[in-house]
Order: sequence, then C-alpha cells, then structure tokens
Amino acid sequence: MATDLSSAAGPNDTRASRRGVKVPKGTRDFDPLQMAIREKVFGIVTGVFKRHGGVALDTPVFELKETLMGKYGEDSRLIYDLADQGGELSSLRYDLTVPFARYLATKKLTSMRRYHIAKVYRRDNTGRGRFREFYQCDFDIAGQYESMVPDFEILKVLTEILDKLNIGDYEVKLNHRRLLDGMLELCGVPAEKFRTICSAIDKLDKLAWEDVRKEMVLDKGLTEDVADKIGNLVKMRGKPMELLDELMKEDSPIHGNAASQQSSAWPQLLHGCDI
Amino acid sequence: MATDLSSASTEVTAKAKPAGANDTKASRREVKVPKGTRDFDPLQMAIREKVFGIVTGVFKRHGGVALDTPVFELKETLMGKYGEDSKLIYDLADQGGELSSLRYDLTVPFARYLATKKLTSMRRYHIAKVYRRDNPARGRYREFYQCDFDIAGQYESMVPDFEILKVLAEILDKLNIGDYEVKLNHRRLLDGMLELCGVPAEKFRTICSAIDKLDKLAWEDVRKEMVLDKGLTEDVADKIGSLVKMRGKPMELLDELMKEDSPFCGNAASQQALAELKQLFTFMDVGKCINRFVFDLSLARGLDYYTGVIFEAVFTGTVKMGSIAAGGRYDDLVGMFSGVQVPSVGMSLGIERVFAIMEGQAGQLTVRKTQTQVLVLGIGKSLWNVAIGIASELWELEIATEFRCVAPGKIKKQLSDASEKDGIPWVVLVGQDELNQGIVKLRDMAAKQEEEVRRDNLAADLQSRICACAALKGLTI
Repeated sequence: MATDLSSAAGPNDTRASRRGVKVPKGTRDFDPLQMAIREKVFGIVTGVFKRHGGVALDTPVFELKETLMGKYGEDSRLIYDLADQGGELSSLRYDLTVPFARYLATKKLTSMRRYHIAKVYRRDNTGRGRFREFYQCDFDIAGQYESMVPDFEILKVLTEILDKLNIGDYEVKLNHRRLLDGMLELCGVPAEKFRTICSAIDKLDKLAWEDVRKEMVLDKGLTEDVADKIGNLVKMRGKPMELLDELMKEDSPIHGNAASQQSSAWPQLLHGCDI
Repeated sequence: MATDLSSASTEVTAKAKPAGANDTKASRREVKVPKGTRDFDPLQMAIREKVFGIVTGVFKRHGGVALDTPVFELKETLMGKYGEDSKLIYDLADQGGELSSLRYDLTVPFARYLATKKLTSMRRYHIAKVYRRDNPARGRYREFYQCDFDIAGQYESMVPDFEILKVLAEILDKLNIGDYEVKLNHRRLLDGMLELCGVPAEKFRTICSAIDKLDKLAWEDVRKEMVLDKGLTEDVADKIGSLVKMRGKPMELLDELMKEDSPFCGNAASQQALAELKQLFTFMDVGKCINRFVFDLSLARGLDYYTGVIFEAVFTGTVKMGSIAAGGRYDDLVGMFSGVQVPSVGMSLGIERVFAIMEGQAGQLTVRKTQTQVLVLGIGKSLWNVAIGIASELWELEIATEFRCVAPGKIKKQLSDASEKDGIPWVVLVGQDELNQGIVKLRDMAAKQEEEVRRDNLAADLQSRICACAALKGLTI
C-alpha cells in the first residue's frame, strides 16, 4: 500500500511545475465543500432507497469489453476502453443498468431490488456542464411481480426523492412504449421507421413541432398526411387519469389499436400513484 | 441521465439480452467480471457501509475533510512516481485524447490536488478504489479500496506525525477485529544505520529493499541476498544484522539507542532521527496511544519517497494476513508537481483485509441487508391498493416499509422469511375481513405477539412503537 516513489527527479519534473497540474478533460476533483453537499444529497437519496427495501450493490468500474458491446447503439463510440496490456480487454462502465443485468446473470438471480450510486464514464463533448466522469443514482426492481406494482414503486421512489431534495418545482412526464408503437401504427408509419420516428418525436422537448415535422417529412420520408396525424396525437398531454379516460373512450383515435390497448394496465398504475 | 439502451430491451431480465452477433456465445459462456475485480453483494455492502462509518467517524473527529479525485489521472501525473511498480499501472486506451491512467494510490492524486489548487496545507481523508495490474493468483485484487488520511503542511515537529498514528490506533481499536501491532521506524535512522555499517550510499535503496523482506524471510536468507546478490561484505552484512534485530517498546529501545555507548552515537542522521522519535514517543505517551506500537529497526517499507517516520500495522491474531495499514512522512512529493515543498505525513488503511475478516465473522454479527421496519402483507391478491395505501402512509412518516399481496396459503412462508431471513421487526396483516372491520393485525416479530390495531390509527401507532424500540436500544432512526 505504501507508494514507492523513485527518489530521482524524473525528466518531466520541471515541465510539470511550470505548467498547471491538471485533471483529465471532463473530470474534476470534489473539494471539501462539494463533498459535504454530496454526502448530504446521497444521504437523502439513499434514505429513500432503503425505506423502499432497496439493497445496495457495487460493481467494478470496468467491465469486460464484450459485456458492454452491442448495448448502447450509436453511443458505443463514447465508451472509454482500457489499453490492451496483455490481459482481457475491458472498458469503463457507461451506465449502471448493464452492469446490473450482468450481475443478475453472473449470480443467476431472477429477482432483486437494488440501488447503486456510482460514477460512470462517457467520452462525450465537454463544456456546458457536461462531464466525462459523473455520478448516477439508480434504483431498479428486477423480477416477476403483479403487473404495474414495481412500476408504481419506482415512480413513488422518484417523487419521494425529488420532494425531499426540495430544490424546486418539478414535473414527471409519463408515457408507454407500446402506446407509442400503437400510435405510430395507426398513423400509418411503416414498422421499420418506428425507431427513427420516435427519435424525432423525442426532440420535441427542444425543437418546435414545425421543425420536427420537417425532419419527419424531409429526412425520414413520411408523407405530410402521416406527419400531421402524428402531430395531432403527440401534442396531447394532461393529468394522467383524465387523459387516460379520454383515450379510452370509444371515439378515441387509439381505440381498437391492439398495442395501445395493452397499456390499459395503466389505470392500475395511475391509481397506485394517486394513492 | 436516462440510459438510452437503443438496441437492447429496456426491461431488466434475469439474463442480459445482448443484441448482436455474440448472443448465443454469451448465453453459453458464464458472464464474468474482469480478472481481479469483484461485485459487492448486498451483505458485503452492509459490512462495507459499517466499516466506512467507523473509519470516517474517526477521520472527521480529527478535523479531516473529505476529498475525491477522478478515477484516472493524466499519464504524466503518475509517471515516475512508483519506481518498479509502474508496470502495474492500468492505462486507458489511446482514443485520440490525452493519455490517462487509472490511479494507483491516493497519495499521488493528493499531492497533485495540492499542486493544482496551490494549497500549502490540508488535512484530508479519501476513501476510494485504486487500480493495480497485480497478480490475482496471490489473493490480491486489481481493484480495491484504500482509506487514506494525510496531514499536509508545515507544523510543529512531530505533532501531525503523532496525530496520524493516533488516528490509526483509534481506527484499529474501533474496528475491534483482533489484536494488532504497529511497527515504527524512521527513514533517517535507517540511512544512518546503513552508513555506520559501511554500506556505500548508492546501495542504500537496494539494501533497504532487502531489509524489508525480513517480515517474510529469515535473516540468513536476507543476509545471503545482501552478500551474494547485492555485493556487501560479510562483515558489513553482520553489522546490519546486529542492528536490524533490535525491536522493543518505543521509549525503552529509544533510551538504549541514545546511550553514550550506542552504535548510533556520533552519526548525524541517526541523532536527528532519534531526537524526532523521542519527541514523537513523548506525544504518543501523553496521547495514550503508545501501547500497541513497537519500535522496530527492521521496518524499511520500500522507502523511496518517505523522508521521516514510517510505520506498518499487522494483525497478531491467529489469522496471519499481512499488513493492514501503513504510512509515513513524505516531505518531497508535492514539490515534484508544483516546485513548492509541502511537508506531508499520512496513513493508508488496507480496508479489503478488514472486509475479509468481517465477512468471515458475518455469522456472528447481525448485519441486515435491508433496514426495513415494516412488512405490509395483503392477504389475497386483490388487495394491492390497500397494501399500497398503508405503505404510503408509512413512507410519509419515513418508516422503512415493504409491501406485497400473497395468497392465504403463502402467508406462513412470508412471515418466517420476514423474521429469519430479513430481520423485519413488524408485519401488518390485512385481509378482506380486517378491511370490513376497519382494523389490521399487527405482529411484533421479536415478541411473537399479534394484536388488532385500528386501520385509521395504524401509521401513528407504528411510529410510536418503532421510536420506543429505538429508544430502548439507544438508537436513533
């Protein structure tokens, strides 16, 4: 454990002392004040996780390269690799979800309710408050349970945390993947374009509808008619129970669409949240 | 920060479902962590949290502030600091940016931090993982925790050195995992000793390295190495031998060495070191931490950046586990970064060994994986709304609560799991009958008693019972 420092001055000594000594781009030290804040925040977050029966988990900072390969799509180029120094190829973890899935597989577990607070690594553009090394706090419930019960509990945990952190008003947007699928289907989007159209819809929090519509028609090859139908539906937002009741009416645009009806489990979820 | 798993399913299932060509290969092969690393499962995390709580408590009580640094440093920061061990450093791949490497310890990052912030004093602790491409076959991990406490800055001689040793002794006492001994020596005393034995100055390092092996090898083997491999005369080796075997209670041995007929008399480096040690031992005596310490002239510790006091703690119990903590004074390290000398002294706790010992004792400890106080059990699978309603009232009062609904036939197993596996002290049972009557059944698992409680009073009732229990145990929730 003692560090064996060579006593001879190395060739880069004087250069180092002339130049400012830095941390790598996108990383930072946490000074004592920042650590005190961090400890307080983690205390609040962990308190909620624990009160919901969460157990803690920790995994290595790097995984085997093959564990992370093929999980992150285009973002894979942002993964930090360790150098090939003669052993197994490894990479720094990109998130905490894939390590969790790998842990369940390693231990052959079929259920677990775990939280994990740790740093993750992404070779992203820095600036505007983006770091390459940053903390994530994850809470996941794995396993077969009564429909919507764990989904409810995750949302309950989320709101408890945001309330207790007490740093301002917030809103949580909710939707359902199958509802999106059903919506695109009945608007007439070809199945092979679902992902790319979802990607466009996702930009609506930053771009105006006109720009997104233009992208759908010009870049992604939808007809204006289909794009307009999508436009009618995606602008719908409101209080959960109320909008749900609207959508479940017989004259609702999604009525009769199989995929959307799957999300009829929603009344349970929302009722749970209501409580 | 949502993870966008664009290609894979976002559902977490028992088996990872990788998209892509290596699907069938992955499911046939075991899914592993990299060699030398490990997951911490919930029980290990509970032990870890307890240990860190003890350690951090001592650090904080001594005015330590916390620090954290990135897991990797610029390659040039770590270069030239670790001598032969540099080959054990993990490098990040060259992906077009600055070359970086995973940190090898917490001391060099500390020195770099002081230089970055142009600080000339700091009393910091740092608990974090470090990375060494060591040989896992020897039971060594490649990723492991260290707990460091260092005092940097110019102070009255030996005062911070005393405080570091006091912190070390307090931690080892509070961890309470067995008898231990802390060996103490001084770099300048070793230098002086080699000098008066006739070792040429250019061989000091390599001879110290040999002396360092005395905790594993017999003197005869070390003597042979000094004479045959390192070119000392037998005469010089014998002189070293007669000195390094000296060990004893600090004050007593010190007094011996300071007598007029002592071999160290007249050697300038030794005299300075002995004077410092005298001051240190006096502080330690007054500071009530001298009992576990042994002044041991064979302690050498791969010396290169230590400039003063050095120490190493070992367990003396039945399980020989090597050293559990070590450190010393290193006055020249920060200056290597900034050109400004900041004298420093510190300790590093090898906490993995402590974990291993406590995990072995886990059967005797009561370490729970969760802290759940109440399990809400709905009898019959249609009562989810009821169970959620009760749980939500309890969460509002910050009571740790789990909930589920099970068929009546499964209640017995739920109850036995709750008490035997999970250690949950209270169970709330509610079925349709109870609902109709406006009550619930509340079971005190420890006392094995069950009573009826009004549903609308349940949360407040439970809260006062839990507080009462905690008060009895002298805990706060």
